[in-house]
Amino acid sequence: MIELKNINKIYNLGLPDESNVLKNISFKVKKNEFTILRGPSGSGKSTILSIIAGLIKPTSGEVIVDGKSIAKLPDKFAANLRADKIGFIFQKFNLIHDLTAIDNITVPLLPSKFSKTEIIERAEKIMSELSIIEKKNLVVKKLSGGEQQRVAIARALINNPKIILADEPTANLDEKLSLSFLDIIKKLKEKGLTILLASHDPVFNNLKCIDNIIDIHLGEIK
Amino acid sequence: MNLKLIDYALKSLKRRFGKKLAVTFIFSFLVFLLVSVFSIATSLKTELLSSVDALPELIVQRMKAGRQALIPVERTYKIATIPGVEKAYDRVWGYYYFLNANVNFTVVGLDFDLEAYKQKYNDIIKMYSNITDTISTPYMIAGKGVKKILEENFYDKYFNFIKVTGGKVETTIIGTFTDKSAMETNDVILMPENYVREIFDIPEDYATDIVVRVPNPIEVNVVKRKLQYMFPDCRVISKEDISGSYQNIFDYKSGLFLALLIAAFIAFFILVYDKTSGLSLEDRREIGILKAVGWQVENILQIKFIEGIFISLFSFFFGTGLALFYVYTMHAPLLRNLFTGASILKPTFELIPVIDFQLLFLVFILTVPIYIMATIIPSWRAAIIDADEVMR
Repeated sequence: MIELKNINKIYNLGLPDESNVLKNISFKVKKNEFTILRGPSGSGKSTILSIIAGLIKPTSGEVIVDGKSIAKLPDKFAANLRADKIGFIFQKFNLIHDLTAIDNITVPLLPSKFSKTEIIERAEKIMSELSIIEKKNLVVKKLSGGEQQRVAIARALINNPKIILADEPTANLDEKLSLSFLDIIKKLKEKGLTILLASHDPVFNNLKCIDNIIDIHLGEIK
Repeated sequence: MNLKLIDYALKSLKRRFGKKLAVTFIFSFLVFLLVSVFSIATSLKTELLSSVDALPELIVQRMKAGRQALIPVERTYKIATIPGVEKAYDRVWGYYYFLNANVNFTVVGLDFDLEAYKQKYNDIIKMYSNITDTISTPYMIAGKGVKKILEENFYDKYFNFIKVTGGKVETTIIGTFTDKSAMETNDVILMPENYVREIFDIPEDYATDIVVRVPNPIEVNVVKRKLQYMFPDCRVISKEDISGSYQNIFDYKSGLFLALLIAAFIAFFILVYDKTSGLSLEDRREIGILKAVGWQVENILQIKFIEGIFISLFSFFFGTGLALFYVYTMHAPLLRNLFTGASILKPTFELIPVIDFQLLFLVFILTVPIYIMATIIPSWRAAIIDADEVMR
């Protein structure tokens, strides 16, 4: 489902502040696998997720997502890939603060051909599954951290993605909410989604549902 | 166009209501200023052109010690014999100073049985012919401004002219002029010629001036030279001379306004520069999020275009509507005085509604597309950068 081959990422190439954040990263994530990218802050986990989502391009190497090479994909096709196949849960949720919960969730589908009614029905269904339906008309900045995260998850799921990428999803949550998030992830895995999660939160240690753990340190796989 | 994107763009405007309201206010004010100035200018120009059009080709005035003096009527007959001259009329008129209101009225004497003067006076005379045919006492038809001033001074039905020789001429007001060409006729009083002669003490064989009709424009200058040779004590004024002096005054006032408009445009372009030079952090973050969740650059540009077009079109139409209301309903207080002068020596006049669509289009082109570009360019700049970088 996801394959990285000799990925290198150098920021500010050729400048005095050049920084090589990924060095020859190669790994595979099979379909319906739940994989953890583990490593301390600054190890390059988020950069790997951004490269897989097509948000940034690697300096060298190849990225294959669902059978297609995306490393050199033009911006327009990378956006299509995100819209069709990937749901991204960001570390700081990256919600639009002054929009309501349901408006945030429906944002990815607004440019699509789905009717407004269809999009809202789909959003409400996901919100019900995530137990935030009663918050749908609240502006997200008024929601708690856990609720905001569920809104972010719902937004990642609205396009029925095959792959979920989650960047430090529990970093801003207490233990109880982190465990609750884990339940949601388990259910997504049961539904057949492929999950790649970047975190150094101990809550993900020794979980049966995790298929693979990749340890990263200073931009290299240990 | 995707209706969901339009909906998103409108919600976006609502979310940034304060900021967008400030931009809309500045934009509307600029359009208001531009359209007001252009409307006043167009209206005045139309007035002046129609006034000039109605003028005779030549006016002959007798001068004495550098001042205008009465001219013998017999000269009219001599002028009429000059080749190229179609007709010559002697006119009896004068400026009457009305002390109570500190204004001058132009009192024009008409022989109501003769074809004379400007076409519009003839139309007015025809309009009141059923009264003028039967009335035997002094009467007048007053311009709208005159009527207003007289009413303010409790002369609603009649007015007492004080004669040069003393005594008074009690004159019944039988009607007023229409709004059309108010600037030209606003301070005018039309009266039978014999009463005007009585008021200003003008003898029967003298007139104020003589107007000369020359149908062939090529011959006007030749006739003018002939008149100057024939009557060396006279000043001969052509339609071109009058038109030129009107135009000079108008251009001078327009110049003042141009300076004002340049200042307004500088303010607008500062606003535009401010917009094009960068987006707020919140705007950049939102663009990054939209890209990260799968929006194309063109989707982002579409919502920014909708936002821009909504604000600019609203501001344009609101500013234009407000300006037209200000100029034609409120009669452009303050601005009009800058164009016409705030002199109280002539009664004020109302601006004729003239909408110049070419000028409105010019204002549209100078504002709306510029603002839309200023909205789209910084968004495009942010949208083509990696979403990851924009969100940081």
